[in-house]
Amino acid sequence: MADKRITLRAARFDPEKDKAPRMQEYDVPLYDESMVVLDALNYIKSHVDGSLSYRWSCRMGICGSCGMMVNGTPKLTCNAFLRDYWPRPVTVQPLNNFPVIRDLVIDMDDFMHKLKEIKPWIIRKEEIPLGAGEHYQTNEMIDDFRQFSECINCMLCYAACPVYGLNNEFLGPAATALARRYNLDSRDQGLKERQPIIGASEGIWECSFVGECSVVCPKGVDPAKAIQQTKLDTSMRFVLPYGNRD
Amino acid sequence: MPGTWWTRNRRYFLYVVREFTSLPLAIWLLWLLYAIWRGQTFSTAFAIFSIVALPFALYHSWTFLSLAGTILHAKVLDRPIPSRLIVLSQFAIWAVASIVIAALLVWFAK
Repeated sequence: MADKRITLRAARFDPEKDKAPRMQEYDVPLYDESMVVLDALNYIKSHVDGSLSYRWSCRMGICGSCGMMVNGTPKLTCNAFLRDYWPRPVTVQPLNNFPVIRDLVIDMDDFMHKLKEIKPWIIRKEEIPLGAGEHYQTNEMIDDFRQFSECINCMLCYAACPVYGLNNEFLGPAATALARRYNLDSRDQGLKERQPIIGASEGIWECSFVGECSVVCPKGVDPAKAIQQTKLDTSMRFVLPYGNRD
Repeated sequence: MPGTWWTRNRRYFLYVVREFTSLPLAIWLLWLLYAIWRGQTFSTAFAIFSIVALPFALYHSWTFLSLAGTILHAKVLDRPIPSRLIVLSQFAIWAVASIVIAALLVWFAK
């Protein structure tokens, strides 16, 4: 492994100098079988070119910061092993469908705004005082929403979604999955507050079920399922006489 | 986003094919309704187009029913019905409905 090397092509973009992103090649030693794309970027940053900009934090697939396009596929770079690409070169670009701030750093304001809009927290009509004890939930109740709560806001699903790419007014996969996570939580009473956002034409109805969001999710969340099931629930609430229940 | 986005990977391409297959189906249905409205007998052209539209209809139906397992969520005795079972039941209903309709058509033709 010590002699192995891999070529990493990184997208470079300096808004003050460049009109469009350009690609720059780096030669990176593969010193370990466990090396990931993020390790290669860190190697370049430390030993070759300190000006390369990218986001990262935990290096263990939890923080969701290091999402980038790796050979055209949205991936957490801390979870993309170089051994899977070697001896071919690896191309690293910023996440699709987002404005680029610099090099591999995208502007995530749009997603953060959408995330805030769906109120991803437990909403109660009346708070139960702490002294009243716990909210009891059975395993079955937790199973209803557990997978949607695994979302780490890495935005890979937005980079994979052609619907969002064509119309960034679309609420998008992760925000809808998180809205569903709270709507399905037996402790939550905020469905009516979220419904105007998720039930809008740019909400769930914009999705045409490409399904790529669920394919690229590094945490096994199925946002496509969340969106389609929310469509069904919203329709049933509209049609059924008892549909406007809380 | 470039207009060629759907060529980026196989799944995007299959998605576009899935959506496109509804077009021949819509044309076929409109043609059928028009023929019925005009009280026409079915022409050779319609018969040929029906054969052309059949694989599109089958592919569209197959994708539609396969996705039902993701969309539908139901519980029996507080346990969710597995997606696979939902999909299989959809295909079973499809097969039964096709046999019944085919039998009715044959019976009426006699």
